[in-house]
Amino acid sequence: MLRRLYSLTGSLGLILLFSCVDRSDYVLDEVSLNPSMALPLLKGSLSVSDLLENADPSVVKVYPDGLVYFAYSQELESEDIRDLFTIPDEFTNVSFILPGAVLPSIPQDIKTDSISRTIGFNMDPERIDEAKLRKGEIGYVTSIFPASSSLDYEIRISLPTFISGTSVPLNAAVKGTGAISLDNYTMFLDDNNFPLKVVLVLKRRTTPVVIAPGTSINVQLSFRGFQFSYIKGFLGEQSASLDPDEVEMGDFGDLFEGADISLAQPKISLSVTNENGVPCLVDFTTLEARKEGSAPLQVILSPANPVSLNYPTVMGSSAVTAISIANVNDLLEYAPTSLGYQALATINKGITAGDNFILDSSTLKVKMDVEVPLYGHASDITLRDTVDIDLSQVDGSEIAKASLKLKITNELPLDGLVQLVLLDGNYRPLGALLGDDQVYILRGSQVDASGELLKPGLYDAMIELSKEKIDRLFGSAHIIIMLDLRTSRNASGGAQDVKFKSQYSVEIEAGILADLKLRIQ
Amino acid sequence: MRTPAIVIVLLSLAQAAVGQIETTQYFMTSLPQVIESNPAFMPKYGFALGLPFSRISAYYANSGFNYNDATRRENNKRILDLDQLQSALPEKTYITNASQVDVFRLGLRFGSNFYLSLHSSVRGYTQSMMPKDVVALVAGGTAAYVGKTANLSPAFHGMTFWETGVGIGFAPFEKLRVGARLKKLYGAHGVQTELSDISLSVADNYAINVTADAHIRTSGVQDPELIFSNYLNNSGWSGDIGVTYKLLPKFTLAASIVDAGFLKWTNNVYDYTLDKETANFNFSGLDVQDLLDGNTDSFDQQLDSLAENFTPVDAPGSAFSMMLPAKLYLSGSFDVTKSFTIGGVFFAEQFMGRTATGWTTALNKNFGRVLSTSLSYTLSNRSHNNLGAGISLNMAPFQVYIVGDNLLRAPVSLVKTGYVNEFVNSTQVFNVRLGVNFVWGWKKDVAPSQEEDNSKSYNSGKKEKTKPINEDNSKSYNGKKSGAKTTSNTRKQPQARKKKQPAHIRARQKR
Repeated sequence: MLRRLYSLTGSLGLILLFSCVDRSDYVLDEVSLNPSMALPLLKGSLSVSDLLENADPSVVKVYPDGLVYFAYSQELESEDIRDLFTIPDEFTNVSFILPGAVLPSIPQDIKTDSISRTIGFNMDPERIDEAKLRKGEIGYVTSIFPASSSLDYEIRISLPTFISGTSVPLNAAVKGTGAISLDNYTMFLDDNNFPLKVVLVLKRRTTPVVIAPGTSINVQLSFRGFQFSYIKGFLGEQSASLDPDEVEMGDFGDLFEGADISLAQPKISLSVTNENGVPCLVDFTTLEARKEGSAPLQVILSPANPVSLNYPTVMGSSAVTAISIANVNDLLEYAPTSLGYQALATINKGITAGDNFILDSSTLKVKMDVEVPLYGHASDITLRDTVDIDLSQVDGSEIAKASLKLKITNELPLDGLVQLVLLDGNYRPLGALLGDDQVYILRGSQVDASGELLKPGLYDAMIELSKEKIDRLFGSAHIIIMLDLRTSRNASGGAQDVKFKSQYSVEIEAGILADLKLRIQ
Repeated sequence: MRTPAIVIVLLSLAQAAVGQIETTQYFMTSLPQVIESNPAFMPKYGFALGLPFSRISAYYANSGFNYNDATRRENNKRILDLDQLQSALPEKTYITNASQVDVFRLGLRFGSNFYLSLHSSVRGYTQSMMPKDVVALVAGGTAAYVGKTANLSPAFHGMTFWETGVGIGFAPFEKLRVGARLKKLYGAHGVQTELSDISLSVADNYAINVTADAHIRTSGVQDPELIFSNYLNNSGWSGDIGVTYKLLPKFTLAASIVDAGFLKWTNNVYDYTLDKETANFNFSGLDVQDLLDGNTDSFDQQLDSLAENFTPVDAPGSAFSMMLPAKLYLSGSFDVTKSFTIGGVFFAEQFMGRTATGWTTALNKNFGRVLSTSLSYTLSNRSHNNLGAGISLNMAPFQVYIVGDNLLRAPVSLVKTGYVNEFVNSTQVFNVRLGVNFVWGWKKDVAPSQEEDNSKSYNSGKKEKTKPINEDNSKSYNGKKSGAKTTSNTRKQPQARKKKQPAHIRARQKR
């Protein structure tokens, strides 16, 4: 009973309560808020070394003190000198004349006769004393006349100055036709000559043999197919023309194009690495910087052309001759895309005797090294880039006012004007985002007389964007980012040489302060 | 000259928020539940019985804002205006909800000055705190906090428990009445914000840093099964004490402390924590290096880590104790007539380190013994528009009542506009209690200290016009005197009425 009363009372109360409430009053149609948002956008430190991470490490390098330099190196290899030398084939014949007689049986082989002679390779002006052979052979043909003779024999060949890889002089017994390999033999010569001994051996027999009068045994020897590992001796005065070639400099030449640049310590050098153990004089008949659309620029060498090259005195080593370029600044200003050269190399120029050597692998390497330290001053460095933006998802009308808070602590000695030009979808300009008094954003660091960092440049300001510019920004489809850069000036505003070191960084803190008017349905 | 200064101080304190205190009922001695505010109080009825749902009460208080503070009408649209809301908020907004349902109640008067009460109730109490910076950050944005730190530390405390108590009230001396009540508590659900330190800092470069260090203790929240015996493990005690003192014949002072106690939670205890070592997030903008590397995922990765770092970790916890929201009442009442009283009560509540205060002024009138009414005005929760009312229909053995601190504007709004929206939209404090009691034995004030004063009040001219009250008063008056003296006292009343008229009446007669 009581419970029913309670239920009835409660139900009536709720009905009464809800019937007295205009519930539409509690349906929210809109949420209104006008926040002023201060939000961070960007933060980070960007050092030169960070920027260099994506650079070609073979091109951009750092000295131990951190100074960044551009390096370009290209090497050309020439075997033209080594190719001057070959060991020619040589031939010789030996005959043993036998008297007519009946030869009794003999229980063992008997050496009957020998012939010794000196063989010389026909080489001039070389006078070779030693040659190690990579390949080569002695071909032989032995025969007896008349061929019907039943005399059994063999020929023994002795070359005491031909030493095998196991230090054994060459001695070989041959008969018929064949070849003796000289691979890995070293020939010790006397001005291209070597001794040869040929011995006739009669073989053991159990029955007598009749030798007809006029009987002879003939031996033909051919020294052929020589390829040397090295040769030693005096190689004489000879010249080789190095083929014309070009050292490509790629984009390096474009790097500073258009900018007014003065570099303090650029270095361009040629180094010639000579593996030929012989004095060599190189005459660069052509050495010039080239780029399309411009006349070549003659490169002036120091020491002056022709250049006497250093040469190694120990086999397997090399000697380097450094050649610098006297007109480096002219060359960099010219901004070449390649260096072209042609040279004539002469060995033993005016020399009549000496100990030279050449390996079959000996080369003459010409290497160009370019080092351009980022040390100097520059102006009118202009960078442009166009980026697409899409702010269609953002309702710009909700932003009443905005300011960009920017703090840049710049250790780089680089001043910069920054401008953002807004473009519509058809790349028609809508106007600049920043006013003339807002573009000097990148403040270069102060440097001392030697170009070292004294004090970072600091930009810390609010860049206010009016409602009109914000609307323009939201209506744009592309932005041209324009940077006009120059190196830091001295106290009087004049140019001074500055250094760019890998440890220098630019610290960026960017935030936005925006007054919003939000009406959320 | 001292009184105005005290009033000013009390009124100033009343601007602070207050929790679950319902003060219109405070002076309604016709209700057996009046002893809840002060166990020394003596209800009118000598016998009271409350069955389940004899008292249902609900309480809502918002110390920060009302609906009108948060919204406005514009072009026939209802707009949630966060700027407007922000400007209305205090530094901390406390939102308190409470409810109580009586399961059983018994009140018995023994003799003239001893009152025994038993009760059993189910109570719920929640209090959440929201710092102003939360809204300020959403509405006003982060710009206002550049170089500063926003306090985003919310707090939540709540408990539901079963309370069973026994109380007594008696008068040891003539003008003094004291009372006490002891209550055994069993908790069902408890939530306590042990630590809440969440902040958002905006650096000069607009970098945003958020850190959180929080520890929330709970009991019964993760309990999938409601097994009653489990809740018996969460137990505690609380007590109420009170005193009244008849300072002047018509002026009574009263003081009480209610709900001083604790609950120890041991069942299904789980802790939720955020460790400041991991729950922190710093956003300084997109990393320049990432942008150059084309790593566009870095921001998403940061957001993922933000969500991960700020996910509370829950784990079984150890037993913990929660103090109940203890209340202090200091009141004074002046009997203008026998049936008409003016009273004022300063009240304070202490809960989880927060002291909230308020002030209520009430006019109480008994129309015979059939109808008891109360009108009140309350300052609390930074709210000044609280016109309360209470009414009890005393049709013994039934008594039906409804009381609330901010009830009166509801019908005014209804009459004025046809809806109660005007009332609801401007309300920060609302409480109502209603129910049905079984009562017998209407007694007038029976404390010895009040005995003579009752007769004085009875002598006032207004009271004479209402016969039932006179009869009732005489009965009540008789009731105060025990035994054979009752009859003689009744007979002496007319004489006493002539002899002792109030001072202002005597002054008027002289004129």
